[in-house]
Amino acid sequence: MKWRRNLRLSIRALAASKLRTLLSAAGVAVGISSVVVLLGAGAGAERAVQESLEQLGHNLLVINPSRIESSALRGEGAEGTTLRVEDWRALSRDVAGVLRTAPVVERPLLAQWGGDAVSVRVLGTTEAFARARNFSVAAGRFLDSHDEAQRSRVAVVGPVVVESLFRGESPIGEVVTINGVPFRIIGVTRKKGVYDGGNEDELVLIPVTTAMRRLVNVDYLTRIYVQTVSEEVSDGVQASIAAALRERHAIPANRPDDFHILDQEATIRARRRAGGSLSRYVPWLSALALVLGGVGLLAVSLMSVRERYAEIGLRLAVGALPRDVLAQFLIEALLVSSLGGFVGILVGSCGIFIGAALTRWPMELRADAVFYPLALSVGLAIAFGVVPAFRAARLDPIEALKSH
Amino acid sequence: MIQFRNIRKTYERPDRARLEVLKDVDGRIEEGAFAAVVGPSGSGKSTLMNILGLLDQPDSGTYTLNGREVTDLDPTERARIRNQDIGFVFQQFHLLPRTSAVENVTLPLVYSDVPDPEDRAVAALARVGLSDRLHHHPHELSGGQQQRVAIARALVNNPRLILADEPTGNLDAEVTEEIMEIFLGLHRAGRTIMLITHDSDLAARCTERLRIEDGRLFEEATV
Repeated sequence: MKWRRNLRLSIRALAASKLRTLLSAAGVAVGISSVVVLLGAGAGAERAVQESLEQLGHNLLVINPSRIESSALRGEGAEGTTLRVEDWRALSRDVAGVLRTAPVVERPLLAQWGGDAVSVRVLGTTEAFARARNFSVAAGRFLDSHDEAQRSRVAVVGPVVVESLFRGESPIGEVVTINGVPFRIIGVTRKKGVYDGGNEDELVLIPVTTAMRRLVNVDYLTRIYVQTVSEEVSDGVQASIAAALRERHAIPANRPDDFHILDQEATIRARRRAGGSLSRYVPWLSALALVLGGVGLLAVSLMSVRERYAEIGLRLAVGALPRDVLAQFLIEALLVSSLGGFVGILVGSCGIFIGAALTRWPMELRADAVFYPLALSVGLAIAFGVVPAFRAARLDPIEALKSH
Repeated sequence: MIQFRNIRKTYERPDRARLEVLKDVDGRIEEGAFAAVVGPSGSGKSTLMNILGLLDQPDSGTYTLNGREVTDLDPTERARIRNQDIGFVFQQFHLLPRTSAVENVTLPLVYSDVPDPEDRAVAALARVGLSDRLHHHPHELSGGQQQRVAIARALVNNPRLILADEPTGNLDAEVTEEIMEIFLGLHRAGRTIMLITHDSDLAARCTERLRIEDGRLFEEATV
């Protein structure tokens, strides 16, 4: 009963001085909205990393041959030739901590069907590629070990190829001609999008054995994917791979590697941290905005207490206890801060949607971007409202009544 | 009703000199009395009223209100007595700005658990003749009307004692008469009233007169 009446009086006191209420709520709103945007940007960045990792495949190392000057002279582009099929088999067999490996022979080639031709990226690989690189089929099936053993002329194509060559019709069972060699299409991969400049949906995947013997006639690999059993063993596996390859390639101790190993996951995380160097200041800016909002609340509350000395004196005279006065001013601070909190969440959410729509900065609104700021605004009210409230509660009613 | 003995109150001034405001004051106000407290400015009238209203505590002495010794009660109990048994009327009215007459009158009920506070406030305003001003804000009311709202607020908890500290000090003669009529009406209805005033004409119409001079209290003979 008493609480409800007190709450009503607080609301009326706030409504009676609208400008003051709105100003202090606005201060809180600025702080809260910046926290909402910060949380949204953080959530978006985390989502972006997760998406990159989903696209790439987890715990993945990529081994590339080093580019050798002389290879350009031999007219084979800048591609290195040091990675052998035997290297791949040895890595899968000998290195501890390796979950699976996938060899890749890659060539940009022309695919022809029914008089049309499109340029595609042909990847000769194995069954393990799908798991390692997180590919799945939308229709048909993926390459298997039988295809590999038989050097079958079968292909799994990406959705872009289906679109451009087959006008979106199902290509399963059709025969496409690549470099003059006919391939029967057995599957279509699920859409993945663009990663690191390469479109993952314009690939034509064929067995690595077929690619090497029947299509491009090479005995070296473009790269090897190595999926480790966990992120923790990554460094150890990299060292073991390097040691194994140096031994196999008989590289003297004073010569550099003729390959290099890339930890894609570490690269993505590092890139995120680097990109975060700007956002490193954002938490401090948010904290600053919050403190400024709180100080605004404090200043306005103190002003309000001073202006209302006579009212406080009167309340004490007619039977209010100091704790009633304390409660009233705390309630007022809470109401103002909650109002600011709601407005801040609203403004911050709009900021996130606008930011996500207009910039390439990934942002998203999560439940915690609403919950934490609300808790913060309650915290602000208590942290910055308690001093004025105590000051009000400690007033001597006789002195307070004299001031007018 | 009210009985106080050997009340002393000393203030320390900023220059550290001690100011004896009340020097060993005794007094008694009977139930139903309309007592005027008169005396020059700074003589201790307001200090006495603050002590009798339980807003202030004497340095020594005893104070019995409604047969109960209240000098040494704890703050919570003193607040309860101020709320239930005493109504205050001030020279400055002390109405909450931007708040309607009814809500101003409701204020003491915020701190007590009575049913239907609005109805009580409306009834109290009716008793001071402001039934047609229930939802007016103070700035829309004349000085006399504002003081009547303040009197209604003092009455709303139906206290036995009303303490009025120069309630007409800011009002002109005509309005002073209106306010005095209200107090006389309350007196006729059996309420105990203590009225601090500078106005000897008003004091002359009260049933008792207490004069405070130089920190001492004298009862003046009733005319």
